[in-house]
Amino acid sequence: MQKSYQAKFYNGTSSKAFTVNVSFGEVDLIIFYVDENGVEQKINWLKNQIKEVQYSSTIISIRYGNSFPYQQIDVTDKEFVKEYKNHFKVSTYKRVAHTNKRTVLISILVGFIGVLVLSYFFLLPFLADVFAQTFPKEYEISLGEKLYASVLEGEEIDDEKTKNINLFFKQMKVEGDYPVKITVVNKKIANAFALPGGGIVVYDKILDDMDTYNELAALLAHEYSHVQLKHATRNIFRSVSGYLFVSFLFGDISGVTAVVLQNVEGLRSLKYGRTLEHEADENGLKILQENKIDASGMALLFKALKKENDINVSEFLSSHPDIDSRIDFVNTFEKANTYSAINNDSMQYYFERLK
Amino acid sequence: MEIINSEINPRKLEFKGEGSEFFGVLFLNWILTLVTFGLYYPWARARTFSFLYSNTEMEGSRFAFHGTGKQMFLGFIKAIVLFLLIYGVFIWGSATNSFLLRIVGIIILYAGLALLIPIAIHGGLKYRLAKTSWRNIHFGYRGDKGELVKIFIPGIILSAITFGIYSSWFSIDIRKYLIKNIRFGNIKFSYHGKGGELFWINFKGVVLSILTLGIYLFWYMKNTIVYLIDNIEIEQNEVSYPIKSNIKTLDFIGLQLINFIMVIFTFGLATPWVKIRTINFFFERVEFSAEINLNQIEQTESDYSDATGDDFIDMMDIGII
Repeated sequence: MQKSYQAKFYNGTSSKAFTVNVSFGEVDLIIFYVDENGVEQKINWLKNQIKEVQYSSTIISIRYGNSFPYQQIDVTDKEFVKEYKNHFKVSTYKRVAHTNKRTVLISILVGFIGVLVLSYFFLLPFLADVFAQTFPKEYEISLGEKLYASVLEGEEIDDEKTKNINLFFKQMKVEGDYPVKITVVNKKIANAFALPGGGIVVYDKILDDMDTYNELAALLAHEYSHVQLKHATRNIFRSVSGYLFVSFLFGDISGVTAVVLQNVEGLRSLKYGRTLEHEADENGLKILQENKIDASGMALLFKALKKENDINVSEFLSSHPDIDSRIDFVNTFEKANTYSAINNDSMQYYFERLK
Repeated sequence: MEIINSEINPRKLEFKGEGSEFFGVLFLNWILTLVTFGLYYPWARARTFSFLYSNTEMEGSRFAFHGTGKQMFLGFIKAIVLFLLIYGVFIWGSATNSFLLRIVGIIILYAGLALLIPIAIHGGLKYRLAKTSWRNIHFGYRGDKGELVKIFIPGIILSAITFGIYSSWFSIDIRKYLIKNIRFGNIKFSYHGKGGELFWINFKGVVLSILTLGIYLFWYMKNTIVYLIDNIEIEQNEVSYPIKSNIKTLDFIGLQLINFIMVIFTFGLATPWVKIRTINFFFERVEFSAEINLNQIEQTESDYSDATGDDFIDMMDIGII
């Protein structure tokens, strides 16, 4: 004899509850009850016509029928729930908002980890970018100045070349929002990098590798683009976004500067990734075009650096991948934008003094 | 017999859910919504309703919510498309240089929203009630879209040109229409508030809240809620039974203050407990007659599965009634 469970039965036409006994058949639920006239009734609910099952911590409700309104039984016996699961293994089984303490705990844990991971990979970089974009320019410049001082600490600055390279840049007549300050450092590595707010550092080895002033113009246009497009600021903010996030939460902007200064070492070899490098190349080419400087300087610069790289590993190149595709890009740009470059004697003059 | 009847304890709703359970539901919803970039949201709403309904008890039986995430998702999509259309016309209008097109865009935006609100309330109420049941008997809403629009549009225009003074009468008209069209099987409801009385509550509320630097707000809120509840009547077999609330202002202030402290000091984590506290507060203090025969409610309403209105109401954050 099958075990039967007591349940409340509603026929769908009235709220009157009938007390019934439910047992499990092979493919159905068998419901016995005594109707108003005292007559014993038996109903079979075919498994595949069960319409809806809702289960909360104390009750399981099952609805049956082809069309609205349905018949319904409510069972409070926990054993029934177990047997229902075993017996029917049906997909209609729907747990309705039933949670116990363990699920709460697990979901909190999973959720917490999930949120952390998501924040780290999506939210933090996003916030860092937003923050960098809205970071006041004056603040960016003053941050840049502090970084400048600490990057150049202990470096041998070539005052003469520094003076000339700044005069050279002035001749390029670049119009921008940032006060540009270029420093030439004596170092036997071909490298150059930009800091937030207008600071650019050039190692003199890279100058030695150049043959024409167009190459220097291209290099400075590229580095200036990093400044103008806030790449350095964005990158720094990304790399310290963890600290940034906390500082941001507590509204402590000065804390950001301290953290950035602690991380100053990484600046020398800031890797921008392909997208940002490409952006800087493109913007750099536009600067050259606007100022009627021969864009082929950029391709020449890349070729010179490539050659240099075959002998000594250049830091500039190691952080600037895909040199060949960049040369291609310059060539495509030149073809698409034909303009007559004007020879600039002053630039030539300062360039010669840099050699 | 008469005397005995009036001594029967009045009926109340009871809420059986625990804060920790509700927290589990809401937290999981939140996580899944986040991970799916919002797509889970309709399912999350369905789960929340299921939890709240299935933990609400009357005479030993629980309510049930039969709406599904899928229905709500379809409604959600439709609602978004409609929204985008209306805003699209507006943005397109304001992007052109033509002054005329700009005006047309603005008119479409306001007219669209003014039309959308009553239609959304209609659809939302219809869906939500059709999907609510107790002892297998479904609720329902029998109002007519066109009629609601006819009450709504003049009401909102009059409220605007009278600087909000008319809004008390407007809100009573809306409540009356919505509530008289609600059914619970063959049980009917009605609302008996008066515009003049609600206006006095609002007038007193605003003036005294300003004079007392906001302290009177608690009384104002409480009066508004009580005026809503106490004017609803339940009708079964041609006999009307009132709904009565027994809310003391001090208790209400206590509820609000403790809720506020709980939310602030837990950075919002206590929200599920706060919601349940609030539900319990009202369930304990709102009662209706025990003479209503809950064993003889007949099924009268039909099914309705379009959730667009409900999703709209959610998006626009309209409090029904």
